[in-house]
Amino acid sequence: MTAVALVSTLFPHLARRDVDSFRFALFGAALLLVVLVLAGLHPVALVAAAVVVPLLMGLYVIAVDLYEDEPRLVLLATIVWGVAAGLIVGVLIRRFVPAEPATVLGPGAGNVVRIAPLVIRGVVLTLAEGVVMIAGPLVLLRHRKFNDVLDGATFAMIAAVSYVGARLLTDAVPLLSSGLQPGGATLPWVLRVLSAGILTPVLAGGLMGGLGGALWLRYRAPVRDRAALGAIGQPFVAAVVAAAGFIVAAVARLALPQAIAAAVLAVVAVLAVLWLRRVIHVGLVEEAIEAVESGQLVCANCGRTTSRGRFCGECGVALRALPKGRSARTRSPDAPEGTP
Amino acid sequence: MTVGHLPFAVRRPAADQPTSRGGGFIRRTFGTVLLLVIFAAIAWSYFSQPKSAQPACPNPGQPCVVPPRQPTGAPALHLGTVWQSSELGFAVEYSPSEWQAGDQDARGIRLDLAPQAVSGMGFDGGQVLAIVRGVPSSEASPEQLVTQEVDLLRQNVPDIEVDAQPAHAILGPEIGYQPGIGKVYAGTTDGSAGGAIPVSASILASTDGRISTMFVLVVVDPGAGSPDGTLLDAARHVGDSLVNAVTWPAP
Repeated sequence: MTAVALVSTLFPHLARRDVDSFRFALFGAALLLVVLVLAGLHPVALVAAAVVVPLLMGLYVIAVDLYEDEPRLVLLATIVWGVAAGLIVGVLIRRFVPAEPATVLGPGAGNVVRIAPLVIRGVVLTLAEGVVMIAGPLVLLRHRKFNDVLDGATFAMIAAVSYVGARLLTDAVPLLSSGLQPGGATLPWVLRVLSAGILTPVLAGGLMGGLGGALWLRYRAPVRDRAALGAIGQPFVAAVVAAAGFIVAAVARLALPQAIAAAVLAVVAVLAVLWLRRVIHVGLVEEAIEAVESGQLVCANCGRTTSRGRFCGECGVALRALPKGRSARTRSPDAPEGTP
Repeated sequence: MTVGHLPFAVRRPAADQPTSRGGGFIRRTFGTVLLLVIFAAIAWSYFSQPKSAQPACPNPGQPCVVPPRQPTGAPALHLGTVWQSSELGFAVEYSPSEWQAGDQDARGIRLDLAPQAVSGMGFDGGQVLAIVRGVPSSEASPEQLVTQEVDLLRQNVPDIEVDAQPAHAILGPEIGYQPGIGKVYAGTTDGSAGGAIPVSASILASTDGRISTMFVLVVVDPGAGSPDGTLLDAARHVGDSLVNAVTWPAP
């Protein structure tokens, strides 16, 4: 079975030497969270869990320096969108939606399953939150500059991870007033902190990254690539798959015992990462083809070498607007400067 | 890169992109920010936790809890709704404007404190529910009833443990003026985003030799505050009236 390379999937543009740093940070943080729980600092561990993956995502944006001149603004705006939306939605849900789980104490010697919380919190709210997560990245779909599958996957993944981190904060911060060590069994807290801090953002990032990749594949990528992901590359199918993943995880959390719910969450998270991995593979192949195809040419207007594109990078003239007799000449990328 | 003096974003080949920062920068920044968050959370928790409450005993030396005794022989005056166990005969009277009857069967009933009652007491959120349940004494003793209920609660409150705070202890546990046992538990239930919401459960159980009866008061987000105190205090106040309104079947 193919190993799920978590770090290189969540952070696809990382150079090899940086993958180790991110892996060290992620697993070191997971260990630190467990230590905090063992020390009885449950609320503190939960707050820390909320920032681990989003913080790594922010550092990733800074580290890879994906764009030269409009560096991180777009990606940072995506993070801001995810955080702001998560905080607002989290506060609204805490205020207006009862925290009642789907199984509640009944009058007899057993719990009672209630359909209403399952439908409202497990399906309706989950779908609504999914729409909020993808809404920010969808604004960027209009811009032709972001024309790669990798763009869509990255935007959607960053927004989703930031969103779930902020949502968890709205749950975790009020718990701080319960005291530093409010008590509670240790093992359930270890499961809770790792599920909420690691598994949930991975799941959300994987599902939303897959959906974002499918949207960009359909509406922004070259026509030749549109079948590259098969059926799951179609936006409608991808949306259904992402929605199903979120709903399965939410219903499991609401209705199943904690350990079983965590296992379900882990399985869905692994499947989501595998999906995202496939999307990223298509995106990286797309980029490689672009790099080969772009090549360089000599501008017929100024005579200097420039990258193939719509405009000359040196004099700014529209290359296709030149008279046919003065059309640009293609130049091998290996040829020395000034050689046609 | 610029085009006509305007900045233009150009993506470099992805396969071999150098990072602008080293791995040490990533580890240092990540570690520093994470530690700052942890210290901030510790400080927040330290300064925002409620001070331990003292029981209100205005006159030193006077017992804090002396439950009133039900007058014997007086006819029952029912001002609320009475629910009676069709199998075991015990009953509970509740105010329908305060408590909403939920799931029920021949042996028990679940009552939810109405959201209007919660907001009427000055609380923005939180939930309060009560379970009144009985079994023939041959099936379970009060201690067994408490154990069974804790096991049930553990499905939604996985980290449930005995609440050892003296301020939360049940002094003089009784159900319908029948002495019994009372224990308080605390834990957390999953929040909507995978976080945690505190839960307090006060469980009382008693027996008259023929039936064992249990009363559970569950408070979700017990620390929610109003100018007059916490939701736990208010819930216990209304729960006390309810547990006193349980009547045992006539011998």
